[in-house]
Amino acid sequence: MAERERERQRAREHVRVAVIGSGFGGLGAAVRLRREGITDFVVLERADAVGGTWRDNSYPGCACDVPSHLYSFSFAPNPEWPRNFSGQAHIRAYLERVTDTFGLRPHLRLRSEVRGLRWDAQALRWEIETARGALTADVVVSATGPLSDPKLPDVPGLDAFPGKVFHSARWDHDYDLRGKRVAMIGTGASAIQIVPAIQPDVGRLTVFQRTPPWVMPRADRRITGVERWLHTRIPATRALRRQVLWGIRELQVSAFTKRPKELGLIESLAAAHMRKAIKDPEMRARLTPDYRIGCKRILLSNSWYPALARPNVDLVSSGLKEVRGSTLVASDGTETEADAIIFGTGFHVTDMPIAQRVTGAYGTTLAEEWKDGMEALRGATAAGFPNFLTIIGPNTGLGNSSMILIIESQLNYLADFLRQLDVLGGRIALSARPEAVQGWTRMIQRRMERTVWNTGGCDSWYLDANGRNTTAWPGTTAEFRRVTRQVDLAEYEVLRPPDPGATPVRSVTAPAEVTA
Amino acid sequence: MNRRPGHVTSGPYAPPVPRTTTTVTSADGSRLYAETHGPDGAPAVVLAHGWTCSTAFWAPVVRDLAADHRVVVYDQRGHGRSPAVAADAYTTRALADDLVAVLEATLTAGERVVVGGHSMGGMTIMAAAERPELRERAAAALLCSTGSAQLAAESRVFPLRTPQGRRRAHRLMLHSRAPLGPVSPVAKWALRYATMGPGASADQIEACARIVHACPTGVRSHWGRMLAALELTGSVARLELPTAIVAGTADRLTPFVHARRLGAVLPDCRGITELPGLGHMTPIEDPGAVAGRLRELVRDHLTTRAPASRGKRQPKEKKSA
Repeated sequence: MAERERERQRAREHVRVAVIGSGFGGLGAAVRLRREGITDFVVLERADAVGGTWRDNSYPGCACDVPSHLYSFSFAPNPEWPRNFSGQAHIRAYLERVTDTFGLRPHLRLRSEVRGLRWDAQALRWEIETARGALTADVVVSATGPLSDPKLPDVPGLDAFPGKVFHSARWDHDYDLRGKRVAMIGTGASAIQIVPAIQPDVGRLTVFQRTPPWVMPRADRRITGVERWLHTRIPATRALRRQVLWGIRELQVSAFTKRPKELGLIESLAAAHMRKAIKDPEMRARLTPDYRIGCKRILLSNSWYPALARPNVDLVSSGLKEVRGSTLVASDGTETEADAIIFGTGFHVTDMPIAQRVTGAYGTTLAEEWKDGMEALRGATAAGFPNFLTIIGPNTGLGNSSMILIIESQLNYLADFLRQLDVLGGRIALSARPEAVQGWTRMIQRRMERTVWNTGGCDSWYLDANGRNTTAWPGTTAEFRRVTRQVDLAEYEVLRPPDPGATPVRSVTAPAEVTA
Repeated sequence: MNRRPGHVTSGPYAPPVPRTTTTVTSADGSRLYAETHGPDGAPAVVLAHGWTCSTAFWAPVVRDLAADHRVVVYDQRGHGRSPAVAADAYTTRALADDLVAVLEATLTAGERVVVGGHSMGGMTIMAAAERPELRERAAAALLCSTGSAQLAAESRVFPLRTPQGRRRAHRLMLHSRAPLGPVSPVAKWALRYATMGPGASADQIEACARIVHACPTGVRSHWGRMLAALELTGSVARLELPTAIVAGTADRLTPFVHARRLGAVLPDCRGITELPGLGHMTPIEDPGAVAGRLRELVRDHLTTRAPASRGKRQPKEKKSA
């Protein structure tokens, strides 16, 4: 029996690094690992293709609201972006291309959903259970992303709804919406893209809006052939374009993080944008937010307001309270008949679902450690979870710029983390010191106090159940890059394998000393 | 050329007269000057000095310890009375070779010792971490105002904002062959600024300046290149003996963050002694604190020897302030 157990242990595959997820974060990590000379790694993906959120979100009208020349890897420039704000299909194709160009296919393990991760304190490595077998890894890079697990509200009676129900990120392309009575729940970034895209086809469209969003004009256009030719022939022009796009957004940051009052100016632009399409003052009042712009994600669309003004669209200024048969009842009592319900209700952002599956050095799960709010040193490492790094971890989100910039900074940190492990050599692990994590979180939360996310007077997905902002980065991307350039060993505890001969009791040692 | 000696000649910072001097031959044949102070048979302490310094640097510590310890100090290659070597022989490996050669030459058979190193002397101990001679001889170690990696990027002599800027500026400083000139008020001001705390006394500055100015520019530059590229963190992780750390909080050359990193990486760290307001030259700025810590290590690990704890890793309890 014991013999068989050992056999099983031997058979279990071991890798240096296991990356979870194959979106921008996971693929970026894979490229970075290869560039650091590390080839002994796998990328675990639950689906059957790469692309992450850009694979899952295929709803009509899906596009990025950061210009593509900025929303792409600096190491994989694409002079051929077709539009300013490229659509989902192009971004997904870009990620497929990155996977091929950088030779990542051999590292991919598709249909390998991670079921559980457990820290082995004896062997100093992670035991990983996946849908296609178990393996162990020295280091785990969790690139599961904040926008990966759809969040569905708990609506009474939904189970008995006779029609079609799906979430925006799980779009059912086989279901024909033509002529149907459709209810769109939510008015977030997905919903405002879906509504204009399906409005011409559906019979009747009812939009349930709890809180109106601020919507800015979208300066989208085709990138001309001349530009593309220039970007291909003279790469510096492409680089310049990226720099300009980046620079503009860097300059906006202080308004979000330090002087939310300045954003009032932007509000008037958004209001004018709405006035152009919505002529009914009563409708306008319902669509005007009562919080500071930027508090919730600022949305970009030229077609949202015009679509709402169409005769086959109704706006219900209230959330969905319950479903009675095929009747949808809003919180304000409005009743609507529907054939299909589409939830544009967002994702599990502040309660990263992977956290429930990770069991660390204390024997607790990451979700348990994070029950009062996510926290991780420099957005990457949580106390008690050695050799475990998160890409797009706590407090790394941006309100106005490209997350790819954050991802690449976190990859710098990952590379230095692995370099430090190499330098230290031997069987060793690095575990963030609780004091260091707390110090980092205190700094973040102190700076968070003046930001628009905390002072703007709204509830948003930046805030967790306790009202604490555990998702946004209260600074510029340049600053984030600076603070994640290096792993400071003073912030970490070096773990060594326990001495086999030693008694488990913490024996007498020389007293700690601090002379001052 | 009328050259003053490379140290002060009177007062507490003047080097005491050694009981014996030895010429030690290192692994590559280089000659090293070593001297022994204090009574025979007393517990032994071997001290390694830092970049651009010499045995004279330890004078106040030697004066304190020599009453009841046998103290061995030696000149790192190229410094003081140890002759310069070929340009490619200034390496961390040479540092380790030299230290173990000194241990073997100056200690009696089976004699154990507490080793102490300041700055590059601390790096010497780190570099020797896996040498069997050190493991056999050393009962404990003291690392004084030192670091294991990223020296140029972490230094704050040029307080530039970005690590790349600091790395470039300090690399120039470390590589430089520029002569320091005579020990002038300007030179002393600069040395005080770069290496000592604001409270350093005039004689302390004078003592340091004499020592540093006596270092040949070529030797300074050769060792400086080694320092700019230093990466000894892995060796620190394998320095398996009780090790204490002493550092000044106003150290610009090897800022306090290095001490905390060493504390994090050492397998058996016995505490970080934080000396508030002191700079890089802790053995001269506060010889009492450094000698005191050495005394404690001797008391805890050398005279009351606990062989059971040898070789076994002890769970560590440490704090850094």
